Amino acid sequence: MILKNFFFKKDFKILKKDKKINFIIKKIINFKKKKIEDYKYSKIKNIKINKYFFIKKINKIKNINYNKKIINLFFINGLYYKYINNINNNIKILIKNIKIENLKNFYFFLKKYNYYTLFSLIFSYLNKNKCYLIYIKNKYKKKKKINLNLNFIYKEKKNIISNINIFIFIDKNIILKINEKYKIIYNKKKIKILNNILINIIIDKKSKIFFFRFKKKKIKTINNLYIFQKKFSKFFLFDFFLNEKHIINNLYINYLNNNSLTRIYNIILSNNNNIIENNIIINNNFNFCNNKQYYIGLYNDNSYIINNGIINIKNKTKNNISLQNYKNFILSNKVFLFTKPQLNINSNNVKCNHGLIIGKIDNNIINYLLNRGINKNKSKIIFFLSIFNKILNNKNIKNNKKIKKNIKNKIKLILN
Amino acid sequence: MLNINKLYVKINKKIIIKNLNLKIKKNNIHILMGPNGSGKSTLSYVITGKPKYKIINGKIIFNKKKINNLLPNKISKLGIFLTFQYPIEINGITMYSFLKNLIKKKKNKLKIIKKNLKKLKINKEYLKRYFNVGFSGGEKKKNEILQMLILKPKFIILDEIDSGLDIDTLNLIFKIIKEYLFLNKNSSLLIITHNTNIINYINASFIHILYNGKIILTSNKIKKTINYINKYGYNNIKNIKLL
Repeated sequence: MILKNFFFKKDFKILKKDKKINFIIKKIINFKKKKIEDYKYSKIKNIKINKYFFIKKINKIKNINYNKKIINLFFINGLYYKYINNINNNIKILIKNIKIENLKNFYFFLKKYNYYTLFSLIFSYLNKNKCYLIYIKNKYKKKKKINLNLNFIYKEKKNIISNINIFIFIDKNIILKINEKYKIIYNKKKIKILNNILINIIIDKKSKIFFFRFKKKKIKTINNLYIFQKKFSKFFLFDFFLNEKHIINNLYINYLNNNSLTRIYNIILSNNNNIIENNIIINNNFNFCNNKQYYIGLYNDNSYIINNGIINIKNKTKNNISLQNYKNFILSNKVFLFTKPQLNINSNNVKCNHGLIIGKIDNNIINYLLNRGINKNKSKIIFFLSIFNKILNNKNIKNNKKIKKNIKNKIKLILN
Repeated sequence: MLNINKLYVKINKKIIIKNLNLKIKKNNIHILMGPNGSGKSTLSYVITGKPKYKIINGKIIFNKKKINNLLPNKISKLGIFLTFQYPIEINGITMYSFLKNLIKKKKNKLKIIKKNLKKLKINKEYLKRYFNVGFSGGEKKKNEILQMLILKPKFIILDEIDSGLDIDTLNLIFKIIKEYLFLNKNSSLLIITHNTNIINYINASFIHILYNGKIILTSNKIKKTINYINKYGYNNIKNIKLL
């Protein structure tokens, strides 16, 4: 105990006093010195939330559903907010605010899934981040469908830095749809929000997970998504970056056993001075793993884009299939684009493929459409939709008209 | 209806059409023939306003309006329609979502499309497929005619519509075109072909022969000229003047 107290307490003091760290943060975020000190985590914690006020405000938001089949979790300024107890009877959900003293209780539970999570928990605690553990349990042996909405709401008149760590443990035989949504209640232009999220998803045998990230609001975000898959598990990620001001997106996929499958679909539409960074690492440590990634982007103005993808295939593994496909369309000369698909193959029995296309509009298609009396602008939209439809016509988002509408509007904006 | 005067056209510093004159009146069917590379398809692209082809000299007048420097979408809105020799494929866009854009009316779009599908004996399930992707040559040509029926143009250019088609579909397509011309009496037709059996399917009023970017011969004696081409080919084309 003495050691423990000594170690942690001293560490925090160093972090607080260290001017260099403050300076680096200031550089990254471009906030003024005074404002950083004002909005340290401890101060955000002390904000009192008026329940009635929030119920009124949240009801106005259209996208958030209140069905009993959908589980809504609210994180307001980076803190979990217990709004409605809308939890299914069939599914047990544990939401715990983890502290280092309680870690003993979770130790055996965490050990069952993965050791990595233990380290990351301790690390995040050291960094003074808030940690939440969500455990989705299936009581029955049959497959169960569940929708989980993670709503990140920002209510503040001044600048915010929010650090959230979420650990999601998913039991066997569950089909889970996770939606990541963002809302800003005081939508003033001057407000700056830095959103640093770390989500760990540990998927058990034979369960299927769909993860949707559809962002519209101008929030500076650092997304860290760590996924661990067990036998016969499937993971589908749908990432749509529209109107993103500054985003760093880190994705790490690790297989804990044989026969797991992942699909990643990514659409990036950017104009103005947007900065988007995509870093992806997939580790094929076991046999019969299947992963495919599709990225399509349309860039204009001074947008700054980095796509960095690595596929690692371990020694002595068999029958792994992995594909990495980038399609980029550049509309102006000022765009900075850096894409680097990489393959590290250390075994003979493998099927790997990576491709990169950078191109402009196909004039033959546009000429054909013009010949049929369609406007030049509309024909360009049809051309780009035809390319994006390869992702948008996926079974899981085919009926989602909102996504299609938003993408159509965004393409219009970029072309104009 | 269509009047072309002293037309000179170039692509990449190479002059392809030289001093071309052509007159097509209302409710007329014209046939344009010539050897490969004589400039038949380029003439059709120039009329429809493809930006690659630059007009150096001359005028193209359609319904008393100069259409030299108009954009292709504006030309098509005036009522000129071209069926492409090699129709393009658009992967990712279904037939229905494409055809929807061609209809101006806001209501009953599906009804209009289905009506024309029936005429061409195309299955309804084609609407769910991507535009021309995986279609056979005949299906692609049928798709072009389907668009023609939806747009209802005044002047139609058929660029080698008969290539790669079997006898039944050829009969069907020309039957539909005849019907269309009968119902819309103000409209006229220009057929670009290599097929000398075209006379069996449609009764044309004039035949033009294009050679090295010039129209060498225009006559209303269609059978005679086609018989001459069948016998001697285009190499002895100068002798056709003796007809």
